[in-house]
Amino acid sequence: MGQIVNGTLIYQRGNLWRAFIPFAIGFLIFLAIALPAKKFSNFVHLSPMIIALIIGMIIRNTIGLPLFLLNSAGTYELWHNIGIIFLGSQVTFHHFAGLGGKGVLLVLFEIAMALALVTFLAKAFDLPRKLSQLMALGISVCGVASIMGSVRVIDAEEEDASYAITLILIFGATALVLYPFLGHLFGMGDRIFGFWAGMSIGNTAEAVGTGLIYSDSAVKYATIAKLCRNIFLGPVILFYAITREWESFPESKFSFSPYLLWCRVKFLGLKFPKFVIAFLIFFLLSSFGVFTESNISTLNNLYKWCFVLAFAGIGLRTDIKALIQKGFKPFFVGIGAEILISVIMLSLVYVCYG
Amino acid sequence: MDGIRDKIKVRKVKLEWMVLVLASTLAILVKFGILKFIPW
Repeated sequence: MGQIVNGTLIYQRGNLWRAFIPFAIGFLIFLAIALPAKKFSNFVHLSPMIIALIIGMIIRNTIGLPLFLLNSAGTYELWHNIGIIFLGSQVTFHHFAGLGGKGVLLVLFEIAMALALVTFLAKAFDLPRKLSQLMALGISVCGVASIMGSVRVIDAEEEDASYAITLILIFGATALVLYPFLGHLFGMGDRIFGFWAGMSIGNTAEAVGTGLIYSDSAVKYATIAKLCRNIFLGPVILFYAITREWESFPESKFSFSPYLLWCRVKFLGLKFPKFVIAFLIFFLLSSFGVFTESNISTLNNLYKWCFVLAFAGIGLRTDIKALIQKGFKPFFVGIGAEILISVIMLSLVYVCYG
Repeated sequence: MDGIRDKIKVRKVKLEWMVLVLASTLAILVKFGILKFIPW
């Protein structure tokens, strides 16, 4: 049977079909969690992703998983990356037009501010560097997707990624309840609320879900703002890949000889996740009208299902004991940053669109 | 290193290539309307 180590499937020569057994088993386990999660979500009005994650975490941390099932659960990355690629089909150039120049500037400001703020707070509280980088990416750009996309770029450990993802999901779940409550309390308009949710909540599913809970009109604004942020996933990951390359070869930081440039391009090519390029290709295909409305609706269902499958896998791979061992400092840094970003973005959205 | 690899006859496939193959296959199925009959 094949084994997945650091994003690579390793198998014995001549046993190609047996190598795919973990993927088949993984798919069946994820489906066994995703189907009831989807059904249950209709009753409790909670994202099926959160329910799948919770079911996965309960299974892992109560009855536990034998090693071969744990190995199969590691294949969730496949479904998550496919989900991100298909998410590209939901974004078009029109989304940028809907936001306007002001909105794009606000999105750029939010990304830069969140990256700087989380990095600063993490340094002040002496958090591990890779964990703080993952948290900064998750909070600033697009939650779980950007954490998953950058794990290989910054060579982070799976436990760090798991911790950062759990934090983002906890913040997302809290926002789902808190944002609509605050929106109604302060009598916010649909546009203000939608842009606020889209520009300050990390994870796409929760940002869109929050808009949906508020009103049918708010969800459109939240989606536009959130998807505009998602577009910057590629450039931000590229930025981290370049920074990492500079750290790996510090002596050649300012050298531009053709050979070194070639080495840099090769290094970036190895580190840069290919699915981000696929995400951009889907964005362009969708913008140029290659997909019909029916295609886009199918892709919308497909990407959501991919995420539910992946979240079941993330839950199964989350060891709560290991998270507690890491301590609560990252949690407080994350929550502090989230509150500051939320307040600053709400004020800016009011100034620009109020 | 190559010697050891030959001995235990190990092969490697990058997960990201599998992602791209599966995503493009699914996208082709979507484009030709084959997946639209699935009750999502």
